[in-house]
Amino acid sequence: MRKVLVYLIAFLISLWILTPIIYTVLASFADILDYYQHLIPQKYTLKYYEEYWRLGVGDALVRSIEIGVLTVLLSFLIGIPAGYAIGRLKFRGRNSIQLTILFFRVLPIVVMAVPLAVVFLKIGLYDTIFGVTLAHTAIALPFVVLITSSIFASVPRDLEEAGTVFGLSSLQIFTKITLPLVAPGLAAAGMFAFLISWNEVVASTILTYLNRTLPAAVLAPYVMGMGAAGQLPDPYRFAAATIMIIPAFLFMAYIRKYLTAMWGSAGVR
Amino acid sequence: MGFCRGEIDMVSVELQNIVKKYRNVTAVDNVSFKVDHGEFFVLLGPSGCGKTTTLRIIAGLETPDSGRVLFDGRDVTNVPAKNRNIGMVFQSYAVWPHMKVYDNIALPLQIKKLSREEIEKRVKAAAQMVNIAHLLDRYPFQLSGGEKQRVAVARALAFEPNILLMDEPLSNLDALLRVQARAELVKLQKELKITTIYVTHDQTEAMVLADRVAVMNKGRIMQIGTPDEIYNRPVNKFVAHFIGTPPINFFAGTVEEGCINAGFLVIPFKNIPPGLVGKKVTIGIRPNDISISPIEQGIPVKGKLVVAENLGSEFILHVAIGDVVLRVLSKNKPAKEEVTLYVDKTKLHIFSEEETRINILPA
Repeated sequence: MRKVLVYLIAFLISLWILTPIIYTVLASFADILDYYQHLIPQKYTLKYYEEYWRLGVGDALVRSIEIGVLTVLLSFLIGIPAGYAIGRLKFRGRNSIQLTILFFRVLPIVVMAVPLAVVFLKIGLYDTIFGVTLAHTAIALPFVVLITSSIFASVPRDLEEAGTVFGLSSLQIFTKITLPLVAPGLAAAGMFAFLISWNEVVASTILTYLNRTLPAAVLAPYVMGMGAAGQLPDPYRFAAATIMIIPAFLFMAYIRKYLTAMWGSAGVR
Repeated sequence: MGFCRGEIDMVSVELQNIVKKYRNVTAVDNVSFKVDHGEFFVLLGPSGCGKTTTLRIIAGLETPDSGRVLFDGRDVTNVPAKNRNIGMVFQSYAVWPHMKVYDNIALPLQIKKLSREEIEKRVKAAAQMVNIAHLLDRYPFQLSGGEKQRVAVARALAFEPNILLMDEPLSNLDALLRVQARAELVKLQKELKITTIYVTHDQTEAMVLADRVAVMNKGRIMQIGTPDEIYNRPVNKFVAHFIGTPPINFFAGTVEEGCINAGFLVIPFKNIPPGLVGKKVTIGIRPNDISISPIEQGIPVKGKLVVAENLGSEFILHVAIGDVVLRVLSKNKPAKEEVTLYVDKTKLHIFSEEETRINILPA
């Protein structure tokens, strides 16, 4: 009986989350006239996708993935050592450094992006993948540092010391003990960093012109050119949303297995 | 070589004048001792006495500020922990949570680059020894505290270390399990004859396990000896107080010509050094060295029963004699409030004002 209840609740929650997503995908293929006539479309078309493709959304998608992955790499490269230091080592000014890192999140991205565009124009980073990656890294870094620092702090020192005593080198301790233990945390941090980059639209729009990221490219028709915003029929928007959702979904599904490593947080008693 | 074949390299451990300071706190203050081949040596003391730091220095997890650590006469003070061939059981067990029990025991052996067959043989033998053979396929979070503790012991044994170090390995177990695990540890160590250094704050554990005990306080070694020596001839008031349950009774006295006068009790002594006469001393007597029925060497003292704590098989009687309350361990509870105690004069411990033992014999 209790099991049935649990499943029922799980089903309702899934329905709550999935219904808009499923409808979005469905509607993105709907024929325009049909869309306005039936709640559930009956005639389907690839028209909107073709048009987005013509507008270069395919390239933008690749670019977005590139920038997302680069953002993860770069923010890991800088953020993990910082996270380790803050989480594991004791040094003067640790708290103020932690606060300062958080403080950077207070600045609105728009405020940051416009001056950045000027600087990027001067040094030739404007409208480049690397330029956008730099901006996204700046946005994602505080999260990466905060998440990884708490992850490193949660690994008991004893576990590493046991490695030392039983003959493991520092490198072996890191690869065989520390890294597997922090992997789920790193996956979460990576996921965050990627999604921050993936969803970021303001800086991407301001810092690029031809080499748009996916959200910027999808937004572009609304911002300029194809009529004023709101003039485009709904299915176009649904198609845009679907284009945004699908790759993020795939990424999450892939990284999820690292998050739910079976000994997970419940394991450390 | 190996415990599977009933032989193991036994190594002696010697500490020479070890000092370790943290900022302005001296955690270990000039500690020296030698642990013989195959000996079970226990470092005993209250929390913060430096016993764990001493153990960590032997393991190589800490470096002493001065002094030397010798394994079989070889100076290993600057040898890194991973090259010391030590097995260690941590207080938290430090069982790696992301590995199955088998891999927990096997990883150190893989690092040693042993063959797959040898590793499997050793893991199974060690698991058998501590009765966890049926758990090899589990993850640590599927184990109870007692089982995790066994995994930690098995990991240390399979490593075939020269020295086994244990840092309060039983302190996280509940009372019943602790007694059981304690008995198993004694048996195991006697079988394997592996040089073992064991840290605990539990004096009963020390008494049961140790060939010899080092009692530590405030970073220093107070006394080293067999459990009997420590119990029967404590070198100072601290050791006398720390060892024994219920704790020893102390009361004040003054040395006079030929006797020590404690007011309610005058005990004649032989060979009192002349310099001692007139000095104040502390007299100690253990609760089980006082009887409520006449004994051969007993000095009778009249007192009043205040409280009787029932331990089930015996009682702790609190008997007031003037200002002094003595604890007495007794099989039965006296019927009346007025009791006569018989203090065994051969079991008295006399301590000077500096709290060190004075060796004099009762007349």
